[in-house]
Amino acid sequence: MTNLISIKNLSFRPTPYPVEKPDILQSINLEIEDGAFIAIIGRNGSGKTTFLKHINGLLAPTGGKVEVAGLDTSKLENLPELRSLVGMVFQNPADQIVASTVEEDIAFGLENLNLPSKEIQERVYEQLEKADLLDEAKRPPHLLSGGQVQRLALAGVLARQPKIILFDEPTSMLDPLTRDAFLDRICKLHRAGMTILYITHHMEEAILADKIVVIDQGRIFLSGEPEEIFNQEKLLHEIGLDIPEAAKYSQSFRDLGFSIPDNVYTSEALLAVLPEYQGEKQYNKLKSPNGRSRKILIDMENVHYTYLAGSPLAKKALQGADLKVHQGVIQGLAGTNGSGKSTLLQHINGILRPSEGKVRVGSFAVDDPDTSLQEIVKNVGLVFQNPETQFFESFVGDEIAFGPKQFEMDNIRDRVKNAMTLVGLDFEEYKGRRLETLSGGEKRKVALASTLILDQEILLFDEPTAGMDPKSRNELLALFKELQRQGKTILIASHRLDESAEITQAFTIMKSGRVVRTEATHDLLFNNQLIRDAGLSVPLIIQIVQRLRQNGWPIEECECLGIDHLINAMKEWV
Amino acid sequence: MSSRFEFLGSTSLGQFIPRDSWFHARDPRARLISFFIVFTALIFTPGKWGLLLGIFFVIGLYSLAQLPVKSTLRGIKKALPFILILAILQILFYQRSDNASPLLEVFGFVITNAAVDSALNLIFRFLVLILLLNAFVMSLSTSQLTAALFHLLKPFEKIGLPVNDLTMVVQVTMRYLPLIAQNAEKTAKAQAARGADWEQKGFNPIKQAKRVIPLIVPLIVTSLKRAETMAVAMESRGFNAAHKRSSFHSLRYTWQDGLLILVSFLLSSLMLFSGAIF
Repeated sequence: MTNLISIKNLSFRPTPYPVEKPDILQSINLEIEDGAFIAIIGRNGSGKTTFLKHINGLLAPTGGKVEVAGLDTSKLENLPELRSLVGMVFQNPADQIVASTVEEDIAFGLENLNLPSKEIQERVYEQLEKADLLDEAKRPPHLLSGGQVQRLALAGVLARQPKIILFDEPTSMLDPLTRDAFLDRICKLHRAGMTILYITHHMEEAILADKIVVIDQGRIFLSGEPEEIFNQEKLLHEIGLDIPEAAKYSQSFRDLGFSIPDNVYTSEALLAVLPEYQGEKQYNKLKSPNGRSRKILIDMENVHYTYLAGSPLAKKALQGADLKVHQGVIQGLAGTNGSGKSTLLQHINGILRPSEGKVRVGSFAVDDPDTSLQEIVKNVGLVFQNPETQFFESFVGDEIAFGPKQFEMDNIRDRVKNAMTLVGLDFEEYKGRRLETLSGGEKRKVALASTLILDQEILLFDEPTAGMDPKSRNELLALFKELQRQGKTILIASHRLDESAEITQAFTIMKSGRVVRTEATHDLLFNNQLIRDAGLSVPLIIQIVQRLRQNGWPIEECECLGIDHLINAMKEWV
Repeated sequence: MSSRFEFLGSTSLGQFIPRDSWFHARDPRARLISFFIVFTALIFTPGKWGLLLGIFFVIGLYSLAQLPVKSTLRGIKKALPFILILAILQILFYQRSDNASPLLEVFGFVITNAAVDSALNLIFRFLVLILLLNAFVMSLSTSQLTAALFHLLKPFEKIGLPVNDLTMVVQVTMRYLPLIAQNAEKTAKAQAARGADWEQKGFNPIKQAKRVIPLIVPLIVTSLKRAETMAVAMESRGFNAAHKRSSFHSLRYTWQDGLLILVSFLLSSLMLFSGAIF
């Protein structure tokens, strides 16, 4: 029997391309059966997306052959049929929306099939219903939420009734609840017989697949069932990847002498096998370390803000938000997409001014429109979400030097050098590089350096880890710690609690334009109800500690924010 | 307080107001043709009688399509200074025939009755055009517009007009404008967050222009990049201009649509030939 997708000795290099650089894809061989669910993992820039684009003929191999259902993808006459067979959902869903209303966007792919209007309308409404977008049918796509846009993108693909769907990191812009719902949808499609190729940075998502293909430097590095792949922890570490959190923790518990079975890769599986405590020690709930009477640096009260106020498209983003941040702390700001995190951050550096309410930052009354934005910016830095999409210079050095030039600072060259060193970019090697030649990870570093160069007292980050591989993520967390050591006050907005829990001292949770709670990180993380009500998910480490306590383990508050702390504490009692 | 970074708010897009009116129920092609005919007539009508008819048409249209007048008046308020300047220029530099009687003389400029007349005509013409343009935007959605264009141009495919591509260009442009506004907003904010002076203090056109220039280049670059991704996305969804495409909207043409066009046509003819008739 022949396979649905057959890839033989595929290699690819774009033209023009520097001679000294190796091919982006090198002799890839892969056979994929009808109905398979393949996860593709690999570091940023390893060639995953380039590989995926070969399956639907967006790129043609420069060596080797790709066949889908017997169609050679390099032959132009096969393209129309190929595009009907293979659908693709991109990383940034907004980029694949073509039409100016939701229903017309779904129709776009069907119009290309030259179907009669009546059939197009039927299929569009079927997909609108399945994607839960009926109420949005006539709305313009740029006014949808992130989750809705991603559902729309998938609906547009599904309407064409493909046999294969390619996903390129489709969840990187979604918050946990929306992400779970989206993954659920994909699993359902898989069960219904759809063949799925799925690029992801999240190992927890990769487990869902039948088979994982690991790509590194344009080659298939490993491939096999999830269990086989995640048993090769060492190899994965070598190429900057990691095993799922649950698998990592299982190993730590095994090292501690617990009998945790092999093949524990999901949170549920791990929680179910955690052992009972046999010792005598009792758990005492300590009061969390308090009483550090630090100065309040950011003070916001009852802040209101409405986008496009006074127009039919007006949208209330903040509805009475309160926030206090103490000097010298790293504070997390968590909430789902659309909860108002970004809007709140933009009020702290004066980009937005509240329509109502109080904003004090250090000695600045930001709510007063007469307070100069430039003066505030000197003291408050803000790194936007996906900052690499907002570059406006051509060269790395110029981009980073933009800020100091605005303030007519001296020694700009030294400042650029220091900022680049701080984020881990070599000054001599990178200063003259053109921005578009950088990889995604390098661009992110340039964006960080271009804010850090202003050496502000307060630093705000909006979803700084979105779309980062595990290695880059850890480097970034280390950078935050270093900045705190230098005395900075840091606020990190994210829709995930687990990523910054280890380095934050306090956490603020937002929902529907309001701050629900600000608390010491320890206290807040154990408030499952609060976290779930805000549409967020409880970090796995917290779930483990809670289960261990249920099982009688006397684990104290300060011992549970990182797996290493936890294991160290438990060593004493085993 | 609205933010100085809200570029999206200043685009006049998405002002379509869905209403359950006789006019809204007409075939988009009929509405497009009617607007086109009346626009042409308004521009070319020679005198005040034609404009008066135009005003009647616009008033009728607003009440028929249940359109709000308030936002339109706001638009007129913004345009008024420019129209007045044009009118004054018209009065001052009016081409005088020799036997015209001078009304009065100011600083050596001779002002005639005919000049004032033509200035008033100009003011009226602009006001009615603005009213009609607003009615057009409010009563024809972008999707109806593209569908109407697609079907109206379809017959010209035979003589080699790339109708698919043309309507696609219109559609993608409509999708693109708000994206560009959003992009401009992001880039402006990113520049401001790194110290660029984006604060509006008083009226200073030079400073304002200086601020906008550094936005333009990055905006073009990001727009081109987005266009590239969008092109890839369109390709992956089977868009290939060489092939036949169908349309989501099935349009149905009834006698009432014909009536709309007929009325517009008669009215426009009256406007154009009003000089000869009245």
